[in-house]
Amino acid sequence: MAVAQPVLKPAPVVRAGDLNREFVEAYSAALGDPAWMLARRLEALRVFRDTPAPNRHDELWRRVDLSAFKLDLILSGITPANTILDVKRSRLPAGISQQGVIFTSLESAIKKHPRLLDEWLMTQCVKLNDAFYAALHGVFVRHGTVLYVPAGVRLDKPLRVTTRMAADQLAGFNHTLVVLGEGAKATLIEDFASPTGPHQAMYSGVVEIMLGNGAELDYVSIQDWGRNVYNFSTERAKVGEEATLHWVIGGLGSKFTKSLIEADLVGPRGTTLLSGVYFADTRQQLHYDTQQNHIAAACKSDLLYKAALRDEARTVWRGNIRVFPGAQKTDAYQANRNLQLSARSRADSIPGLEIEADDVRCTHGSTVGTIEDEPMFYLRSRGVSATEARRLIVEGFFAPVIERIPLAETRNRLIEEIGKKIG
Amino acid sequence: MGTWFEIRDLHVKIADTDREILKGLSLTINPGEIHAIMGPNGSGKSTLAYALMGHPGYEVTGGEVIFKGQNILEMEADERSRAGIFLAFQYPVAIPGVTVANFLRTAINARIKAEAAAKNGGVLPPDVRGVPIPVFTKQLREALQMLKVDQSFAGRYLNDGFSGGEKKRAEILQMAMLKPELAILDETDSGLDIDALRIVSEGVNTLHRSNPQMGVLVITHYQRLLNYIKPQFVHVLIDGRIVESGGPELALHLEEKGYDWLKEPELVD
Repeated sequence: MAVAQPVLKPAPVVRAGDLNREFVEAYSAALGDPAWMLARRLEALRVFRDTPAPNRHDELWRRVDLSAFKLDLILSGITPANTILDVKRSRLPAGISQQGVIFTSLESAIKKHPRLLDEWLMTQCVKLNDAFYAALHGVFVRHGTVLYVPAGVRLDKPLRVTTRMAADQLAGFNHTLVVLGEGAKATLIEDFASPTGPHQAMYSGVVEIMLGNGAELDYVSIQDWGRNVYNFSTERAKVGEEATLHWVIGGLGSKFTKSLIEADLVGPRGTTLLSGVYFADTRQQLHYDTQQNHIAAACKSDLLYKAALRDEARTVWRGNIRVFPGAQKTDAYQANRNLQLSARSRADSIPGLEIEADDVRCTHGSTVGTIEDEPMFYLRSRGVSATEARRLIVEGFFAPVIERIPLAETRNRLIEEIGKKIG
Repeated sequence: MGTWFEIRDLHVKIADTDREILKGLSLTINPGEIHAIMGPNGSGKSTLAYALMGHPGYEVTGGEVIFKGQNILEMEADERSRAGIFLAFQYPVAIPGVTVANFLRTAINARIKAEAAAKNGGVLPPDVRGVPIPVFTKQLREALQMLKVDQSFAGRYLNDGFSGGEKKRAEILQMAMLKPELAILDETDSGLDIDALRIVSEGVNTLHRSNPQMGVLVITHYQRLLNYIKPQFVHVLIDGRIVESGGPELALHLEEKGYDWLKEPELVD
């Protein structure tokens, strides 16, 4: 991915609060929404207008420098013609749709499965009032993927989605909704990318995952947005009784990323493995707020987020494990490891524990380190150049997380992109 | 025509200090010869190994080291390696996340690419490919068999969580795959039980038989390694200088008498 900084073009300023009913009705009409969907957008608009924009007095946004981001300008410029994403999905294996599996675009699901969507879309998992950008997403959402796997149906082959935004687009609103019935199984791999465009752009995504009892999901999402994109996402999974979620995120691109990633363990004996690999360079800022909510008893959650940084890049990881009253026998772990490749980069790592039960095991670790001299000398003593040795060490640093991705092609692409970033 | 490998009056100090460790060490090795350097703790054995390989923690303050007509002290560690020098570390370093196989393939390809670039006026030709995977896999399988290591070893992270014996086998495995012209073994017997010592030594001997022109420099405190890797020349290193040289019998003499008889008597008022 090119790392050239985009030239930002100024334009007249309109307040975010100026978003009004007429504007949303026109947008909705242009998309051909059914009436219930327009009602949803208007409800989202109401919540959005009641939600103050995040500022640096909020704890979650305290370490964020968004001063250059022109949200008002983007909102005032949004039209149905400049919020287009190109989303492609792999085919379902033959015979699977007869078993009741739905794997389709959000647009098509809104029309063909209105009852399911009405029941699930931002009502049970991610809600409009969860976050400013979740409400904004609710107003403008137009692309996305719905995966529904009924009880007992097990998909062994990974399903894939690629989401692309053209360089001239102003904003992207993509929604991923995954619902797995009791004992269902699936693997979903998504990647998001765009070329670096000439003006600021925004991506505002929502991911909702609901796993029934004993369901198993592998979910991978990797973003490589252009360096003009301000990327906001609100992502939550609800993990049922004895269900297993393995969730990997990858962060390569964007000018700025703020992702809220939350796993709610709502049924006893559920398991969640959260993995992250991200690499920030130039003046990128990548922020991840993770939350492991142990609501039911005897669940296990294990988080490992690994970051590399170079140039003047900045990463922030804030992780919280929350154990609710009654969630006894909780086994929760979180670790954030940061590898700084330049002294001018900065990694903040802020683990947190909120424990309201007494029979639990919760631990965390966080480290910020650099490449040490001894491994470098050891590798170089075998004939490997300094550049190659550094590449091996960084790849090795990420390897334990990348190995958790269940598709070789995605693993290899990620390794290749990381290699390019090391230079 | 100069000598093949020669250390001339080498002075080395620990970087950023005034502590001189090697105080004028000289040694010549001809192709195919096996030399042993023995010495007590603190005599400068590991400093010599590291300085020959170009460790940035050691600063050469005088002398030169000539290998095939070039002063290797002017080269970076990776250039020395590609020129044919190999150091088996006393304390191999763990590289988490990098498998033995991935690392070896990277190291072999680095050689292939450097050679191709050298032949092309310093520019890497675009069509240069690394070692073909089947060739590499076969070589690796044979080297693992020679060292009596399970094939799964290749998929483990290099030295990460290895036992002492596994680390030393991994060193000899690398030596087998990289095929050096001069191998320096730094305290290779430390931390090895007798079975592992035998396997590791036999590995070195096999490599020497398959390439009889390979020079070997064995650095050791104890004589026991020399029962397995038999040197033609033995040198005694004390306080940064070679104080005695001889044949294999010198090692046995040291085993019996210790090092004290070679140390200069301390002057008392």
